[in-house]
Amino acid sequence: MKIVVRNLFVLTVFALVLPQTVSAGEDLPQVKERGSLRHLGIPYANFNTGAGDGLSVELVKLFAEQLGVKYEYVPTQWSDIIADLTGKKVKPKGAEIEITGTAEIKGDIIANGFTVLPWREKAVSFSTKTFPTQVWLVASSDSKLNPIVPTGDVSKDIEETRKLIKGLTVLGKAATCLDPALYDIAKAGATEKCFDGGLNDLAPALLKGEADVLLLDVPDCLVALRKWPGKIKVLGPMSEQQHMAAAFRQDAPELRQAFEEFLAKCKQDGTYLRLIRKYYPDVFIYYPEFFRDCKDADNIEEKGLKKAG
Amino acid sequence: MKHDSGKDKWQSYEVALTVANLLLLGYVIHLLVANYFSQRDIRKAAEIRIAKETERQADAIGSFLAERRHDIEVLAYDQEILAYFENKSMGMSLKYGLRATLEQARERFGQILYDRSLGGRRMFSSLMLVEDGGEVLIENDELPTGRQLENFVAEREGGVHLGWDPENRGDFAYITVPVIFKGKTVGRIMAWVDLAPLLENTVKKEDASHSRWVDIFKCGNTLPAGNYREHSIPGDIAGQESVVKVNGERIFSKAHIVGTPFDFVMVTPKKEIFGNASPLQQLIGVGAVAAIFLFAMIGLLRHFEYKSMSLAVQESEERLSLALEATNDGVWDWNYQTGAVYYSPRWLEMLGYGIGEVENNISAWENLVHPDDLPHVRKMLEDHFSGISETYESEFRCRTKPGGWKWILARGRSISRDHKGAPLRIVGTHTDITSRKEVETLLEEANRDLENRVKDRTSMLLQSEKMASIGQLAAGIAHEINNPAGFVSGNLETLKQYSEGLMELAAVNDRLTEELAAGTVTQGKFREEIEAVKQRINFDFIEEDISDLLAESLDGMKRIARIVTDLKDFSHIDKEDSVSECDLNELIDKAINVAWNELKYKCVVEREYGSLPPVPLNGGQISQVILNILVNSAQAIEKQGVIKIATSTAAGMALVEIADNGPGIPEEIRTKIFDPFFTTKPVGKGTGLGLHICQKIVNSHNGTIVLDSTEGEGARFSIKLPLQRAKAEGRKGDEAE
Repeated sequence: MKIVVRNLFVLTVFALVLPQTVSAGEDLPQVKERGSLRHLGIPYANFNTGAGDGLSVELVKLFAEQLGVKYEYVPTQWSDIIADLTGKKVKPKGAEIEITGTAEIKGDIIANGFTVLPWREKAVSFSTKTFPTQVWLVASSDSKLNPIVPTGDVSKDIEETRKLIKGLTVLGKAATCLDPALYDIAKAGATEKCFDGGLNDLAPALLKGEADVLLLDVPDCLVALRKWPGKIKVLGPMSEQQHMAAAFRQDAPELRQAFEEFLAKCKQDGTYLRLIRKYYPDVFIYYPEFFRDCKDADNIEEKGLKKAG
Repeated sequence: MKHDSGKDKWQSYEVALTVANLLLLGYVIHLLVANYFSQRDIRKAAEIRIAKETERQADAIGSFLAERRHDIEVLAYDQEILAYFENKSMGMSLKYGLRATLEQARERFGQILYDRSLGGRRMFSSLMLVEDGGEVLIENDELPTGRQLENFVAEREGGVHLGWDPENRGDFAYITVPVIFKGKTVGRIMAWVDLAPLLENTVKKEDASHSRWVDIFKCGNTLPAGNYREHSIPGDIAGQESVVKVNGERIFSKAHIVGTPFDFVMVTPKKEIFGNASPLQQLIGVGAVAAIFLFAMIGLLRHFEYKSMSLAVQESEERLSLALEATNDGVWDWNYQTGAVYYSPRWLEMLGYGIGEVENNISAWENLVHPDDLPHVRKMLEDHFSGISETYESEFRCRTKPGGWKWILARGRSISRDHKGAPLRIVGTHTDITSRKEVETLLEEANRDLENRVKDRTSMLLQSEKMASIGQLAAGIAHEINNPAGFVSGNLETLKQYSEGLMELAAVNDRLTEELAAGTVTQGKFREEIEAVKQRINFDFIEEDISDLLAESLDGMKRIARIVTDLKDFSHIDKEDSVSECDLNELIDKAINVAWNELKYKCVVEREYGSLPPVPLNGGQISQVILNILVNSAQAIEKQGVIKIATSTAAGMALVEIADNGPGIPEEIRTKIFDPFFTTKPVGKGTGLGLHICQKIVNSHNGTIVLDSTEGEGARFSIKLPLQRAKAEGRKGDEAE
């Protein structure tokens, strides 16, 4: 009870203080006034390759171009990314967050394969879903673990997968969708292990034997399967289907709205599907329904690239 | 002299011109032959070039297919392809990860499919990954309906296959490569290679202007690939590995595509390589042009020659014209092939026609020729056309415009003939010979009259000579007649006496018969008085002698009649053409009878007649010959001799030999005895024409008369007369001479 009261107090304090901090005005007019759109990014899979491109990087660049402002890439860390956007340091507490302090606002938009999680929704304002995802449990190919046999029911499949990790070390990444804390690893009898490096280094860490199994979201897993073919194997799902989206400060509704309009436009003129196909060509085979409303400007389907299975 | 000089000059010029033409002709032929063989060599070189080109193309296609095979083999070992099988072997499910792996493999297929292109078209029309067991994992293109894919795959187990699967994709070559994972075949990649862009690119690269086409055939099979199904290759090159064959208007060249079960066939329109004409046609064409050029050159030279010669020809024509004018002859020029005839004005004028009044054809001329003369004229022409006579010449009558006839002497000659010798052109003249013909007619009539008179005189002479002979024999003949006439007369006198006695006997017999009937006399008296009368008239002698007298008298009368008949026959006025089949032996007998009185006192006549067939002759004339010889022989015998007459036949002739054993004829006069008016007799005893006429008569019978005599031993005349009438008739002509 004391804890609850204390939390409410903290939230109240923040609620009174924060508006003044944020209200310093970081919405669309300020972006345009400043003349630059600050993109908070972390190299991660093919969303942000770290080489100046990636699905998210290209998309935000186009958005900046749409706004008529300069694109500005602001590197950050998964642990600081929300603080760099909102100016508030938060800590997830299940589906809730705990504001632990303030920070300098460094960016205007998070677009980096940023999964929509309940707790994150408390801290930021997400755009329309931009990418489907799911967290899979991955092991190296020489692991004795055998992948589950799909049952047709994701919940059952998750249960079967969780049975596999009993007694194993599960590697994840804190403050991301791969945070082991999000999946009750301990309850499954496994040991959580958070990786200190970047998300792109998770698969190599697994291959190096730093853990028995690894949590990987589907986009990253697809990249890993391409990058290390035959070296890793997918054991089964650890989550229901998730989605990624761009995140904005909650007090920047105009900027978010502008992005919504921009995203809708990209979907309609085929830009979005072209970018998806460029960076995640395999995603269509798993989530064809997600991209159903996106226009295929290149008419790939009509060009005979039929998919088996 | 001026003309001869010009002629020589022309002859020299013609020789030089001919030599130049021949040299030019030889040079042109040399060029044509050289060109012909060059063309043949060029064609052979072109065939070799096409063969090498075909082999090069086949090698290029072989390399192309080898590269595609390599593409698929590399793909079969691609890490992402193998990753799928590895992930699957690890138990990954399509839902969780494996599908992504498969998608990655599919992308690799797509890269191969779309990256490999030629001329803007995909090299691979389709790629397929079939898992061991038949499940199609990746399919970039749909297979056409047809054969079951499982069977197709099943039949191509094992290693790499390259070939055709006409039931699935007949237009493309297929390549199948096994996917081997951990030493085990886990699937098979199948690729269909579209050869059409390759073939099109091959042709385009070679020469876009060529309308040739290329194709790939399965070895030993005429089943084509590509888009050229409408073409087929000749069956005889299907079984050969490498060949170039000209077939009709196309050149087929084939080469095996190494490392494949295919043959490459290139079909090139012949005219694009060899041109529109064959060497032979070129030879003919160039030859024709050369011939035209040659003939043009010759024509040009001839033209100059003609111009140069025209003056000489004109002079020659003037001379000919003057000559014809001088001879007053007409000229005709007959084109035998067309029947057209040129008649000169003089020719027309000769018959009273003007120019244009006689059609210029041979029929017009034939219509003018007298119908009786036309056959002869035609024969003369035919003789000339057939080469029997070197020139044509005939005399005939031609109708003049006023309706009369003129005698024409036509002369002509065929001046050109075709290769068979048939005349092409005949040129000649007409000469009016009417005056000459009239003179000839008068002359013929005079000759005929003269001949008739000669004949008459000859006949008279013969008759005269005959009469002379008869005159000489008249006394003897009269004697020969008198002898039988005498004893006939005596016999008649005796018979008169015998008849008186017999008449008396008849009267007594009549009286006694009446008296006996009256009974006034007895039978005995009757016999007595009759017997008395018989005794008185010497009835028994009369009865015996009367038949002898009658027989003797009849014989005498027969002798007289025979002599008279023979004499009559002998003296008969002979007609010259009175030839008949005669018994020569009988004629000889008659001659002997007529001359018998001359013979019987001086010689013995021995007859050795052979069996003779009837001989065609003038009996009176031949009798006269025999008679003359017999009389001459008898007269030659001084006292008593023998005349032997023999007849026989030999070599189609009747032979009469009359030989005597008189003194013979001296040698010096033997050759003269047949001369007219030659005689050894005293003047007045002979005319000297006897033997001459004998010879003439025998000759007129186409016979011969020969004297053979040895002085002191006698003489023999041998007369031969033909047994055949035809020859005998021939004498008419002789006699007419």
